[in-house]
Amino acid sequence: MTGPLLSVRGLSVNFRTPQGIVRALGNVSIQAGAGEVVGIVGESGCGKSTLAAAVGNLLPGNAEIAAGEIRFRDRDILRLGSDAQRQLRGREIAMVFQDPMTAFSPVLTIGEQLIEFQHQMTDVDKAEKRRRAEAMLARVGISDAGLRLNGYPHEMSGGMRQRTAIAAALLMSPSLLIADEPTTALDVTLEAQIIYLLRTLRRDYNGAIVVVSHHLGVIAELCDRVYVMYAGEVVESAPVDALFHQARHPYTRALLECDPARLDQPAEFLPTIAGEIPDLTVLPDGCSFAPRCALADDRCRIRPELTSLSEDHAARCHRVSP
Amino acid sequence: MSSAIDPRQLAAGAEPRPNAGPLRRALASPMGAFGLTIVAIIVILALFAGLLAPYDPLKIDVVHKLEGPSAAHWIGTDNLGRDTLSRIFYGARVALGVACVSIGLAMIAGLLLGLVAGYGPRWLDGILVLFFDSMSALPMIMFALAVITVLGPGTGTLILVIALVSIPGYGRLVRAQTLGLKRSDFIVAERSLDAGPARIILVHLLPNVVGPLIILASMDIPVVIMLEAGLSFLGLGVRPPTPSWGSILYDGYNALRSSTTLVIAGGLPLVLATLGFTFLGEALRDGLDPKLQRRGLR
Amino acid sequence: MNTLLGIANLSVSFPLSSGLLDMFSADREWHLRVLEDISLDLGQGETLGLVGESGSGKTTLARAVLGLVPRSAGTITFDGEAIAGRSDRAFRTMRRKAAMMFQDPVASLSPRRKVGALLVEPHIIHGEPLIDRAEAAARLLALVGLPAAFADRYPHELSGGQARRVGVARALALNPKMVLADEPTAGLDVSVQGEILNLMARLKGEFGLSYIVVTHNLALIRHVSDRLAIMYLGRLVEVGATADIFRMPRHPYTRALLEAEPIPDPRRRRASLAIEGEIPSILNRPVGCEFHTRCAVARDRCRGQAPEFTRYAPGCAVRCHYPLE
Repeated sequence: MTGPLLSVRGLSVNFRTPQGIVRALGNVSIQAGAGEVVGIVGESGCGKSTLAAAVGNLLPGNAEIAAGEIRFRDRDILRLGSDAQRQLRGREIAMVFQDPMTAFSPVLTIGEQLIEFQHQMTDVDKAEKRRRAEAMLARVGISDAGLRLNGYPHEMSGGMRQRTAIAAALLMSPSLLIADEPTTALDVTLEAQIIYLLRTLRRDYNGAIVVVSHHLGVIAELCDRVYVMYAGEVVESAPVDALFHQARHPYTRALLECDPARLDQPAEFLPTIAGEIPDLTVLPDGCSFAPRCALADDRCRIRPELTSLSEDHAARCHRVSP
Repeated sequence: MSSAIDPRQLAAGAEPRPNAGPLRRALASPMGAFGLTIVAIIVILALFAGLLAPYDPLKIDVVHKLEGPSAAHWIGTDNLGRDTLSRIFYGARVALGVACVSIGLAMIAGLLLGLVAGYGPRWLDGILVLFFDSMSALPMIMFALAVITVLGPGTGTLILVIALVSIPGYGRLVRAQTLGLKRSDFIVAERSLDAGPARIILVHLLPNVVGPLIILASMDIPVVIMLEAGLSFLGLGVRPPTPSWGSILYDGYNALRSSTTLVIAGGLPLVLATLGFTFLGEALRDGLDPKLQRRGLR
Repeated sequence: MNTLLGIANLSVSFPLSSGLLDMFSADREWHLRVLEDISLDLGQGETLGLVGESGSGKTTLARAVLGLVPRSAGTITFDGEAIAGRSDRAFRTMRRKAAMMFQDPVASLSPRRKVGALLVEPHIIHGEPLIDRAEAAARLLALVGLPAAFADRYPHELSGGQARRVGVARALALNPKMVLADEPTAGLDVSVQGEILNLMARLKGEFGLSYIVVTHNLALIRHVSDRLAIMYLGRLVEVGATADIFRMPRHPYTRALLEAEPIPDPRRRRASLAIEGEIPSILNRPVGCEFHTRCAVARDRCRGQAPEFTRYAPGCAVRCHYPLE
């Protein structure tokens, strides 16, 4: 295999809504290589979850892919038939969501569901599937895994459910794991445990992990490389250290400044970004961040291209240069 | 802080967002438009039966009895020579009148009882639920027969029976809605401002339970129209000679050997009315939820 | 500093089931103990952060203060007067002088009422004179930086941030002395959560308010609170000045909470896990110290004997046999 495991190129996604066409993603390109944890960070409405859904083939019915390709192992998965896409999603691409309850049916036992998730493995019998499920539960840190298989989802606590959802995602040994806000619904002590779990898992897992989050702390703790999204576009991409210490795009900088966890000393007034996220039905012509940007000038009326700043650092801003 | 609001937001604030009424939204669907058209026609017929009907619906003309459609009588006459078209028009008035009055009464009673059961003390809730349950445990036709036997047949009795048997359905719906809303944040917020039970029930709960109630009621209208026709068919509803679709159907049934026109003339309005109200009710249900229209994008 | 709100030995418990059969059963002792023996003061002009994870009882405590959840024991003193009883009537004066902001700003606004009507409702409920409703609504909207035209909107037409502001305006309608804010920034993006907190800080100065801010967000509460109260399983485990607690937490749970917070700096990644396990069910409270099942430094005594809430300095207390030094 040449090239990265996952490569999204120039992806544009529109939603048809009663208010008009919403451009959820515009010309988004991301890559994730084997053994890499890639973070996608941004605020609500930036398109990060749409991107995750597009890769996972889970876009809602009113979405349409206007342009671009999603290449997985050098094949454009948008051009595959629906059967092949489904198969790919069951075997090679797995997802973990914010609300672990949505991953499970309330009326079946955990064991039945974890066995059913392996339905594509036709050469393995049920007892073996059950053994695999039990082993996977134990691996994500669930005690009494054998007993848990006989229980129902509602009998588990939130943290256990998220662990089980991760176990379910990893059952088929996928080469791409997409975690959409995996810790957002959890308390901070459980969030720390899930972060820790994902970190231990990646050690002996050589697929790619894509973590989508609005939480800068989660991204900093988990990721190798980060894409920052704003209004449906990638505005900056960089290795995690560079992003948190040498951010170049004004939005990334402002976002980092706003995080109260980054202020060492107690502050009486907290920094904010003035204005609101642009209405995605009527996007401004130029830079989408310009209306809120303190540095905006005349140049920003023209839409900036992604400028490469170094080998693996790029920002979509007129004011940056290598 | 105020500088944090950008001009685009202010512009949006000055100009209220488009918020079409539920009826407009209901009409946007073809089924809703179809339903509304039929319902409108029936309502117009009922309201202006006096102007629109070519003859007096009670005027007997034995010479021309059981005639087929003709220029004088567009859809013929019945066994007493009365003009069927006029009787159908007046029958619409009876059908709608009985349905609206009885459902209106049941709605008001169900609303009050349901709100009290849902928001009031627990013991009262227990009593009211027991009442709802025992009312709906009675077989409807048997109950209707019993009341009619005691009070005698007639439009008033009919309305009373229909209202009584409909109350538990509305009451239960309102109670369930109220129980769900009772613990919701905005009710707790009102309590934190020290709003009393009367204010909470009338100002904050009532407007939120009326929507589903209206939908249920509009779905009930065809049922009640059928019920009225059924009881009138059996001679237990509207008393002759007042025209009712049920009694037209009954007359047609008796005259079936000589003519099928009368049966069709009595049955067709029933079928159309049922369809029309059902379609409209379903479209209204979709249109009445104010949040539905804004749920375009997650 | 004068004490505005005093809570002493407050407990809240709910009967576990009240089905008909319970009336005939001999064992009626089944109670869900949601809050246990809470004693806490709020000074005039102070901002107190009430911190805990889900199920810690922090929201219930805020609601119990306003009598929205009936207390089963304990006393509440507000503005020099003890609240006698648990009825709505007993809380009437307090609800006039103290207001609440709710976690879900849109859901806490009555959905079929316009913003303008919602804003003047406190005046109507408390029979306060109101000459011009539209003007009063506009004044309140201006206070929180919203244009007067918002009075004609319905709650579902507001964004999260705008609904928050309406919540603040409504809370301030009757010039309260105290505002209880339940997760005031929940659901807001990082770039705008500061706006609400800055607004609250500005209004605190203008109106001489005291705040109780209920939150799970330690990174945020650090910047806005004078004192912190940490809750675990319905009990206070530590109370103290915010700066002191962040510098040196005394309770192992507080320290675990502080260390669990993800740090937005890849150079300071944590090597080890701060805390294991999950919060036990409130139906099945651990014997002894309730935190011992997850505590890294628990000893035998912690498994058998519940620690007292011990004051070690004025306004500082910790519930631990072996507080961290």
